Amino acid sequence: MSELNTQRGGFASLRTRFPKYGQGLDGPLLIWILLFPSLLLLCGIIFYPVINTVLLSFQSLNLSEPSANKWVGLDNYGRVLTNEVYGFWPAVWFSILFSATSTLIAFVIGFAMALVLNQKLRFQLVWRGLALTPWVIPYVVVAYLFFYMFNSQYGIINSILTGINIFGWRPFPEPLGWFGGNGNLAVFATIFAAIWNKFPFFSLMLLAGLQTVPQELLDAATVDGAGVWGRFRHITVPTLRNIIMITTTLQIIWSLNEFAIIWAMTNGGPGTATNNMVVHIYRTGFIEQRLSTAATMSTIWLLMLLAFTYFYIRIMEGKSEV
Amino acid sequence: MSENQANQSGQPGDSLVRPGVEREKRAEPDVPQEFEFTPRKAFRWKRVVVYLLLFGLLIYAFFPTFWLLSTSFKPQLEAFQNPPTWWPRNPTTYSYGILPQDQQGFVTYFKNSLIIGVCTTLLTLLAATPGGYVLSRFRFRGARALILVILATQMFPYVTILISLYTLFRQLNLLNSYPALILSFTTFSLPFSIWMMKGFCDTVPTDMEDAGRVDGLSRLGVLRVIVIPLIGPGITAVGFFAFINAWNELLYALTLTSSPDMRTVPAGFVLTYIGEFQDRWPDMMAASVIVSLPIVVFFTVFQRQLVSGLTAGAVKG
Repeated sequence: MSELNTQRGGFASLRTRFPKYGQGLDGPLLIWILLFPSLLLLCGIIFYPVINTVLLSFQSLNLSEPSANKWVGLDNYGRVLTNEVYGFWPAVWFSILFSATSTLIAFVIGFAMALVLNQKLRFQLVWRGLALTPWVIPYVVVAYLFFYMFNSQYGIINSILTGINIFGWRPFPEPLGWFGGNGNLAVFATIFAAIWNKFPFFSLMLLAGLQTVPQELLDAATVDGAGVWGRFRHITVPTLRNIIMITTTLQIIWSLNEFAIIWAMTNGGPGTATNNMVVHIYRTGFIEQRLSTAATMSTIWLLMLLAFTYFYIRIMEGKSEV
Repeated sequence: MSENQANQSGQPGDSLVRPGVEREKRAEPDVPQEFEFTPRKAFRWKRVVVYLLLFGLLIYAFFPTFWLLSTSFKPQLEAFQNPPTWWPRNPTTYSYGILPQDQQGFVTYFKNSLIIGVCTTLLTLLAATPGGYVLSRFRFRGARALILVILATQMFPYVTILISLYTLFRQLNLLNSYPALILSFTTFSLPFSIWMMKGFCDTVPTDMEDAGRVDGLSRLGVLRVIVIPLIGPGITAVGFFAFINAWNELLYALTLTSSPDMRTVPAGFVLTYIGEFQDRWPDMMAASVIVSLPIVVFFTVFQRQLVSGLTAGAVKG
C-alpha cells in the first residue's frame, strides 16, 4: 500500500517538473486542435440547427406555402399548449407512459437475465450471445417482426393466446385485433416490442457491473447467515447503484425520443393512440408540412427534456466525482 | 534482530497459545461438515431455479429471432397460414435468392446504409477520440462548462435538430445526398461518443504517458505512440455505437431523402415493404436477417471490447 502511494507521489512530482502546458504544440494549441473537430461539429450541426428551430417557432412557416412566412411572436406557443386540436398533451403523456413502462420492465427482465448469466453455467458464452442479440437487431426489423407476430389473422401471438385452454377456461376465445379498436392493444404491442429490444442493454451493463461485486463480501455475508435475498439487497444492489442510475436514466431519455419502432409498427395509430412526441412532431412538420407548429412543439419538448437532464447531469457528475 | 527478539519474547507465551490451537483443531471436523452440507443442498436447489429461469428468459429472448429465421425460410403462402407453422413445412431459400436481383431495391439500400454507416463512424471517431481524450486529461478554462454542454446536448431531441437541418439542407440543395445523411447521423452519435471516450480515458492510468514525456516524447508523440493503442477498446466501443446508431436511424433518413436511390435500409423497409410489397413476409424477413447479420457478427466478435468500452466510466466510477 505504502509503496503504491510513494510511487504516485513520485509521478506527481515528475508532473510538476514537466508541466502540462508547454509551448505551442505541447500546450494550449494542441488542446484546441484536438477539440476543434468536436467543437466544429457540435456548433455546426447541433447548436446552430437548434437555435434555428427555436427561431422557426416564432414564425408561421408552412412548407406548402413558404412565401407566406412571417413572424408571429408567441402565437404558436399559446395555440399548441392550450388548443386540443394540436394534440400536444396526449403526445406528451404517451411519450412518458411508453418510456417509463418500457424502461422499467426492460430493467427488471434485463437485471434478472444478468443475474442468471452471472452464475457459473455450462456453455456460458453461448447463452450470453443468444440472450443479448435482441439489442443489435435493427429497430425497423424489430418493429416489423413484432408487427407480423401480432397480426390479428395469422400472427403467432394470437394463435398462442387463443390456444390457451386451462381446464376449459379460455381467456382469449377470439383472436385480438392488436392494431385496431381504441388503440390500447397497439400501445401494449409497441411497448412489448420496445422491451424486447431494450432489455439486453441492461443485461450487458449490469452483467459487467456484477463482475465487480466483491466475492469476499458475498462469502462473508453467507457466513453471517444472509440469504440470497439479503445478499442481493444489501450487497449487490448497493454496489451497482451508480450503474443502475445511469443505465435507467439513459434508457428513459432514449425511449422518450423513440421513433423507429413506433413509426414502423403503427405510424402512430390507430388514430393518435401511439403518437409519441417525436412521431407527433414528424407528422405535424413533415406530413402536414406545418413546420413552425412542429418547431414550437419540439422547442417545448426540448425544454421539458432539459429540465429532466438537470437531474441526469447531477447523477453523472456524482459518478465522476467518486 | 527485532524478529529474534519477538520470537524470544513470544516463547514463554507458547504454552498459552497451544490450548487455543488444539481447540480449533478439535472443532475442525464439525465446522466443515456444517458448512459443506448446507451450501451443497442450497446449491442444487439454486441450480435448478437458475436453469429454469435461464430457460424461460432465453425463450423470451430468442423466440422472436427464431420466428424471424423460421419465416424467412417459408414459401410465401405458408407465412399466411392460420394456425402458423412453427418450422417451415416446405423450407425454401427463395426469399434469400431474390435479394441480389435488387427487385425491391435491397442492394441499393444496403449499399447506401453501409457507405453512410462507415462514414458516420469515421467522422464520429475523428471528432470524439481527440475530444474525449482532451476533456479527460487536461484541465483548462471552460473545460467543465464544455462537459456540461456536451451532457446536455446528448438530451436534445433529434427531432428539434432535424427541423432546421431539413430547411438548411434544402437551402443548400443537399437533400438526397450522402453528406447530408452523414452529417445528420453524426449529430446523435457525437455527444454520447465524446462522453464515452472521456469516460474510457478516465480509466486509463496516466503513468505510461508520464513515462513517455519523461523519455522525451512530445505531447503529440505521446498521443501517437502510447495513447492510441491504450484506448483501442474505447475506440471500438465508440465506433460500434456510432455505426449501430447510423444503421438503425430512420427519422432523418425518411425526412432528408425522397429518391429511392438514396434510401437507407430502414427507410427502404418502411417505404418499400409496407407499401408495394406489403404481403411478402418471407422476403421481408430474409432481408431482415441479412440486414441484422453484420451487426450481430460484429457484436459477437468484439463483445469484450465493447462492454469494457461502454461500461468503463459507468462501472468503475
